[in-house]
Amino acid sequence: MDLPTQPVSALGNDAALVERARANDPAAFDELVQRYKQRIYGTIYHMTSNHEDANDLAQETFIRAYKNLHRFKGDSSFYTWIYRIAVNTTINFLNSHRRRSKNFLSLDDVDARVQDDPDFIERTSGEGPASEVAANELMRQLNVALQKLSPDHRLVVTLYDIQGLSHAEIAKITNSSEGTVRSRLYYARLQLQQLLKRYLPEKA
Amino acid sequence: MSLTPQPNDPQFDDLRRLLAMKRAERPPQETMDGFLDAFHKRLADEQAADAARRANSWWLRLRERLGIAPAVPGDEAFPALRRLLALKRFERPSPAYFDNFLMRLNRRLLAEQMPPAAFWARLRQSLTQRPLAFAQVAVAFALTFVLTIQFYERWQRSHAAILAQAAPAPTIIAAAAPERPVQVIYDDTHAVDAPDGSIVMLPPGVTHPHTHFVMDHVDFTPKVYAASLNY
Repeated sequence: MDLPTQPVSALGNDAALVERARANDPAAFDELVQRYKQRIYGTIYHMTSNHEDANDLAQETFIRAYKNLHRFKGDSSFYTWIYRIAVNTTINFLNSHRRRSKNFLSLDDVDARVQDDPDFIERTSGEGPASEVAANELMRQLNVALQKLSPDHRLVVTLYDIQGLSHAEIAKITNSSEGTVRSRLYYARLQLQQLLKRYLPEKA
Repeated sequence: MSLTPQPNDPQFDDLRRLLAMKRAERPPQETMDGFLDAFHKRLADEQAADAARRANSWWLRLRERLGIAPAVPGDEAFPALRRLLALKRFERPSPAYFDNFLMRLNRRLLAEQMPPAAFWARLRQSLTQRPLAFAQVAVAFALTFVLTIQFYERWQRSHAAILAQAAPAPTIIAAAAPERPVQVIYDDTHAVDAPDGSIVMLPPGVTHPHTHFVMDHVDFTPKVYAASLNY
């Protein structure tokens, strides 16, 4: 299973699948779900840092999409539309569970390949089982730091630095300007740089 | 004698020696060992809080909303942080989770499309699923019911007593004739014929002649109507 670093816009033509799904072809909607489930789940998980919440919200996103497929006009691409549903669902959830979210971090599995990543090796010194512990601890610290950001700032960091979307794509999803996306990204990174200082090399 | 303070005034020698002993006082070693780390952690937290205040300032939010956000440095300013955040991509559920995602989604979609079950059916389902919770709720309801009844009865009794106290105190005048029953006379009263032939004075609003009154004053002074010459 490849890591979802490929740009979303390169995933192919969704329009035909949407048309088939509208014509009550369940296989077409299933195909759309298969295409986007990892990305949608990933976005929500990095926003909530909780597997159960991410699972529930990801399903809710696709259910809303299915129920509102007839409202999808095709002015924007399907991925922008489904991402927007996911983002709105998640932000609403975070706003209504503001107090809870900070106390319910749950760690998803960490892909073993992280231990071969040069950036991971550079930041941790463990090997073997110690390396796995280090990977879990690093992910936990990343989650804690991300949860300290406001939902708006966390969203742009998640979509840009983790999911690999472009400024323009994020602007479309969040219904804001690219300047706003850049600004939020900058101020979010300033905070993260302080919160994750121990994992970052000293500046010369 | 000069009043100017002298730095080495001999009268304070003892005090100076006493205070000099404080120099030997040292903090615990672990405090000093961890001091720098604690300092850096606290500094980082405070700097992060400052950054959060700047990021969430109303002025910046307004500018962002209006689409006139300030120009800010781009990716080149955060190379190490970006590489660190990219490691989050390795954190995800097991492949089995995504394999079953579609099945779980379809099941939930199907459940949402079914018509909602009747109230009693849902109640029965929830009872069978969580009998312990149901027992707790039932006990709570029963307790509330019993307490409510008890409270109501107590309230009724106290209310009746208050009403009785609020009624005007009657003045009873002993009958002049021994065979004539006691008459109860109230201020602002009206007369009612009692079944035994006597006349009872009742307070306004009370029509029943057999109303039981709590009397706090009875005048036993006999009224003498014999002829006297003291006109």
